[in-house]
Amino acid sequence: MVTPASLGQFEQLVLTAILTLDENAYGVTIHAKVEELSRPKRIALGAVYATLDRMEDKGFVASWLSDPTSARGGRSKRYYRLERAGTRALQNATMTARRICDAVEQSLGDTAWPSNPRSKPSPQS
Amino acid sequence: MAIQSKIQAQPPELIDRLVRRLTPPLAREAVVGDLWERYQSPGQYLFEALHTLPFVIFSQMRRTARFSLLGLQTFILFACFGGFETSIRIVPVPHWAQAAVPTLAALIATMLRDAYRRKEHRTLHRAVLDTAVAAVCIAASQVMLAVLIAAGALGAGWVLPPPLIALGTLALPILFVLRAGTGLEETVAPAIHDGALSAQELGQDYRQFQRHVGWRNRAEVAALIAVIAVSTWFLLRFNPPVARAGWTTEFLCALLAIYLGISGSAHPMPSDPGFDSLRARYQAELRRQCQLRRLMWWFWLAPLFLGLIIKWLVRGYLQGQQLRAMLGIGMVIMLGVCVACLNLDRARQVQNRIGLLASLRERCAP
Repeated sequence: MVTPASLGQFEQLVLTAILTLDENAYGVTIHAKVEELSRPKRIALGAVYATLDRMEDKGFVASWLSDPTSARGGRSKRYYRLERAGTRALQNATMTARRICDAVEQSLGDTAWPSNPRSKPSPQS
Repeated sequence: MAIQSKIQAQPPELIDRLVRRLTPPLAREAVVGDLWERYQSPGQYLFEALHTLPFVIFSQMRRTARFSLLGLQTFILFACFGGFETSIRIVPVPHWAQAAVPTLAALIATMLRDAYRRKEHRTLHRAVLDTAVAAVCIAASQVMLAVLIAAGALGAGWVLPPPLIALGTLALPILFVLRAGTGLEETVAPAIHDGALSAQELGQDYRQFQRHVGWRNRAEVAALIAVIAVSTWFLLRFNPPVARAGWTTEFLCALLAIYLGISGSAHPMPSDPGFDSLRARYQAELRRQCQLRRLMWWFWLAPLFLGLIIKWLVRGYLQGQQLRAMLGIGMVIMLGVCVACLNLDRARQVQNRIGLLASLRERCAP
């Protein structure tokens, strides 16, 4: 039996951001999405790049350069997409997170989720 | 107004140039473009760039680092700076600590050089610059230590003594040879459109391979001569206990330099440059160069192996110091693994090229 690859929390955030952004996943948008998902914590743009490089080296994501855009001083964007291995790793992580949620809810009941309005998920997600 | 706001949306030229310079080339296009897109003011741009770039640089250093190369560089530098020396000295700083500083300085310099390279493959020109940068960083580390000692911030004994500085210069030619690669990487096979090449195109590629191997061979001979020159000066000036072994090694270096000078370069093209004979010559020459590089690698590192075995393994065993003997075994194994990995990498590249040549069909002239 193949042991599923494990993902750190930040890696899960980055892969989720790429998944939800679909064809518009590049540095700036991925960073914005990761920040949205990890509110209220602020995320360094550099940390996103480092994680994207690591995910690419592991084969979880693939990247390519687009055509240059004038808005970026004639520079290309580097787009990312999830590879099959990345999708599988994210699914495994999600199942683990779900089991944790269920266990926490069972133990803590109604007090499981804090009532801090800033941490409430946005309607879109 | 619209035009002015568009102009103002760009970062100032000076700051942009600085950021572009600091960003590793392989990540520059995307990262600088993203920073442009998020631009709000010069201060914000510079702050964000300085906050982002350390991550990007470190990530590129991680991606471009190779275990075998780094391991060998560490061993070579550490040994040449006396880090493996086990004799008892009066000075308060142990040998390994004294050697660790210049070794670390050189390693960081070469890792940064790798992170900032533009192309995937190594070139001789780049190897020269890598070695020069490493030498400058080693010198700078010693100068900084001397300044700190003079200012009273560090105890005496951290700066390398002159004999070790002289011995340390032996690391530079070896470092150069290590970073020069195989020469194979420099040849770029001409565009293969349909798995076919003409005899002329194959001939051109072989000539380019021949040229680069020739340069690499000359550089290696120069490195051997440099090692002979520095060793001769060192042996005559300091007359160390291992002088006899030193002279023997020098003699072997001279023999190898002569052999490389006569037979190290790639053989010329066959007199009848037909496609099949040219391909066979190319494949045979790739194999021969690979075997030659393998021999050279073990030769360059033989003194290091011998030194570790004698100083750590044998002496540790004879003096009943089991830990020292075990450390000696561990270091010899690690060094062997590094060399074997490097040779395996090279052999794989060569096999890929041989396989590519075998799969080619001859494209006839229209």
